[in-house]
Amino acid sequence: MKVKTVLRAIWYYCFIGGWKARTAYKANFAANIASLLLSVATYYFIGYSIIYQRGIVRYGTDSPLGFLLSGILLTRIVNPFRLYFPLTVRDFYYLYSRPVSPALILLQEWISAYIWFTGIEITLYAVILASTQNLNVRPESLFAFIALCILMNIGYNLFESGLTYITKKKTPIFFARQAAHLLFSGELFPVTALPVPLQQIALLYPYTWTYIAWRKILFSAMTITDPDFIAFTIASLTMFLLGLTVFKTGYNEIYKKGLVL
Amino acid sequence: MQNKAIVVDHLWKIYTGREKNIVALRDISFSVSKGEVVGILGPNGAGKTTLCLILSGLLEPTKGTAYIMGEDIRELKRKACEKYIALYLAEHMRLWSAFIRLPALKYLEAIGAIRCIEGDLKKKAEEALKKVGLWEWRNEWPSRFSTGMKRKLMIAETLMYELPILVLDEPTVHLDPISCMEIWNILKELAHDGKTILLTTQNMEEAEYLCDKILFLNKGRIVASGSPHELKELTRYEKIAVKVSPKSREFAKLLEKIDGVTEIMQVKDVEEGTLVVAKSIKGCVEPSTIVELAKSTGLKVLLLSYEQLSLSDIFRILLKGEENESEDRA
Repeated sequence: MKVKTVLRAIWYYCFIGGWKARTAYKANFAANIASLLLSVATYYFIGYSIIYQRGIVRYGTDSPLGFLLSGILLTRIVNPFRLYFPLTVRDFYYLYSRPVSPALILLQEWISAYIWFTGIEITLYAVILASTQNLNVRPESLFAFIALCILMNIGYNLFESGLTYITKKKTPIFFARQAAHLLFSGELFPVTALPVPLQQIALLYPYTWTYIAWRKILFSAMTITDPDFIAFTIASLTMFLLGLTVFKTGYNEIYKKGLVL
Repeated sequence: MQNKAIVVDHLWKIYTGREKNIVALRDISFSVSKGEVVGILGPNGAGKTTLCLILSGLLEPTKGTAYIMGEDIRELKRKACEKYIALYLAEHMRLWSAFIRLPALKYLEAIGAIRCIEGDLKKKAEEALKKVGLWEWRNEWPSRFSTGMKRKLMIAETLMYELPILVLDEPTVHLDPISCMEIWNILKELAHDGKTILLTTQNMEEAEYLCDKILFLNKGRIVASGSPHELKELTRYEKIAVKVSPKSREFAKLLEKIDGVTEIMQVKDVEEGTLVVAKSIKGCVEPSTIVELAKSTGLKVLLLSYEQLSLSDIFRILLKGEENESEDRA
């Protein structure tokens, strides 16, 4: 094969094809730009918060390592709910035409994801966290947190999937979710490191309250009557109900309009 | 209504889009008795898949309704798939990737388990595999199966649910003739066992081989319906095949001028001469007229036969009629 032919193939595939794939849809183009800006912002705020220890105490710890490890651990714990969703638009008719409850299909997928994809990671981070930090946990708060956290994650998953059913656009919604999570959740840096207007937006993002509650439960023995825990409880219940509503709306949208147009 | 598995009552489906609406089904009505095999024949975009989705409760009708075993589909919705209908959409079906490296028998058992099928799964999987003719391959991995075998395995999965009605959307699309015939035989066997089958297809031979009743669907409308025999009788045309010697393509032009001949369907040079197939109005063209025409041009008639039109021919005539009607309306 001629070198020229190979170079042309690479040019078409990597440059022309790559450019087309990223710019063919406005939403995808915007998502690409947003993800670029987001990664810059994320690393900036991580560095900023760690160097100046800014806002970490708000989460019940003064250890940047404890802050980061607990954030990553919680993300790994909730990831199966947020990332593994089998009732996709592509398989919509196949899966819904099986005489089985879709709830069971979701449960199978989530448990399978825990066992095969995130279980080892969770154990690893939990062991490192427990061995390097002074944890101070009230069991009843932890159990209540787990129950509410599951509820919130189911709601979040249903919310995202419902939006995909409504808009039929998976990629931009995936990016929007990633962006919101990294910027506003407090997973990797405290929301107090954000400029004030963004901090206010962060208060509306349900996972912000999840990370606050999670860290305070781990590091400062938070009780279930703590205002931050109550805020987390409200956020969880709201997210669950919102997710359920949006998912039902999305399903009805496809039921009414089909996947033809 | 009691012996009817499916009753479709003035069904409409209009897809509403941003730029335009598409009418997929227009005022469709028909019924399928229990144990009957009904075929929906139509070209691409005729509304066949839409009909399957509505009957399975996965798509809302715009107007009208359908009754599955006497229950209104607008109330049943997705429960239709839990109680009555095993839906097989060839374009949407896929093997469950987690299990494709299990032997076929174990694959079906595993699918049965994750889908909560009650009872002895091994026995049910064995029966399903035997029914679709894959028993010999029960110890082979589905990942190594040919496309036709994979289709059969997916039909076997559908059978595991043991529901009384099978709705199959183009079950043999993209399959070779041998695989098609194998699947037809499986379906024939299932019909013999008492399953009610509604299948959509573009394959006339398939419809003729399998169906008790055929509905021709075009642009969302039923343009004709009946048993294969009734449909063939429906048309006032017949097919005349004439082989003349020596080779002469001019003969086709002369034949077309005879009163009663409406269309030359085929002209082909064969070894001993030329074969001309013409469509004519039944009983209008006498054999002697054709023989004399050949003689007058110095040709010898080697073969002359009158045949009933095939379903495929009838379908083409119906579609052509629809097109002409639309043009007239325009």
